[in-house]
Amino acid sequence: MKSIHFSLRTVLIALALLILVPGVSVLAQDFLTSAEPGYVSPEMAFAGSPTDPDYIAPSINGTDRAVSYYYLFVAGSALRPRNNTASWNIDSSGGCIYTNSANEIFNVDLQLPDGATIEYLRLYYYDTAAGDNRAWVTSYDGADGFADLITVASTGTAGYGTTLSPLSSVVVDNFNYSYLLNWRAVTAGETSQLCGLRVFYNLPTP
Amino acid sequence: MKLKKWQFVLSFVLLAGLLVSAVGSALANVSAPATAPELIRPDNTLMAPHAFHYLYVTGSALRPRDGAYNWLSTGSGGCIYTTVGGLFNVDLQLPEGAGIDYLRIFYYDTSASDANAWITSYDGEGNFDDLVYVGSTGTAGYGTALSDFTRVYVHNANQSLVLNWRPNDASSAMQLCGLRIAYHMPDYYLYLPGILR
Repeated sequence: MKSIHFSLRTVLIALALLILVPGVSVLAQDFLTSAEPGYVSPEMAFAGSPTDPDYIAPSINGTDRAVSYYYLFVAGSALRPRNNTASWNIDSSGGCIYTNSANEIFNVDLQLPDGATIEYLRLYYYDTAAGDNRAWVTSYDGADGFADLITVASTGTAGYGTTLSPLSSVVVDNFNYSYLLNWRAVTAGETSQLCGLRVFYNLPTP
Repeated sequence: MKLKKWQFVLSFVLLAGLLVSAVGSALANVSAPATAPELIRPDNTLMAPHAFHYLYVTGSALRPRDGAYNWLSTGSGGCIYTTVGGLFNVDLQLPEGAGIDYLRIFYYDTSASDANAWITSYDGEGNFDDLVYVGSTGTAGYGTALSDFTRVYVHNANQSLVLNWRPNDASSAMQLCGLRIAYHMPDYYLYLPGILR
């Protein structure tokens, strides 16, 4: 029978390649590098500060093991006008939204676990307009009854920014109420944009 | 290092097997079963008693399925209607394995016609299934109606779900104020100890 000759080094290299190549190709899908266009370091983009009331650090959950804290973060461009008469546009990133119809309200469905407590609403915006835009959470009872629960507004004219609502303690009741996130720009045009809404809530651990 | 031909073939087969298993395990999490499990089971005989959970969507969170139709909201912003017609929908996300039992509609209806709401599943290949129906009734204004019991299982690997509403009236006399799903979480088998006392 004919023999085929391989050096031990060749066999080991071939074996290593066969094992490593599939692993690298799977891992490659999970990481973006700073060499890619448009890459923004997570640390550079509105890095949360431990001094923020809605900052989630391991120590927060560690302080009270009966409660866990979570975020629900909605991109601004996920909202739509409450009436189709309002126009809407997005910025170049696709994440921020603005309207050419001043004072129109935009909304999006809000689903949170039953029994969760909403503590804060954070508004991410682009604002170079004299007027400030506003966001809030509303509950509805299915028969035209409603309650505006938490409100937060943009400030200044410096461009991108974020503001946090006052502390709230709204308990989610999915049997009796539905919930919406709302946003209203008092200024038409791209000087007043919604870039995101983040709900900070806690949930008792079972 | 000398390998005989059969040894070389055997080594190749073993290495190929290693490669297939490594790639296969990486892909396993994104591969759907070839056959979609049955969505609707009419019986409740296999299920243990369970608590309901609710997913409640505000009417004004729906939007027309087709760009040709308009939408308007009431003063409170909670109810929605159209002056053109059409069909409205909204994405529906529930936990894998959850069982949908009922769909409830909240409406304002002073119209001679009745509106319909229902859940539809899509398989991503152009096929769909309408699963749970409920309609508005009467002309008394604000009201609510509950669907018949229909057990629908959520299989997120195979089907996407949407909530639909068709007003069957093009005026503010027919408004959708909310849709609420009563569902239960997946049933997990629990094994009690063999000795109970």
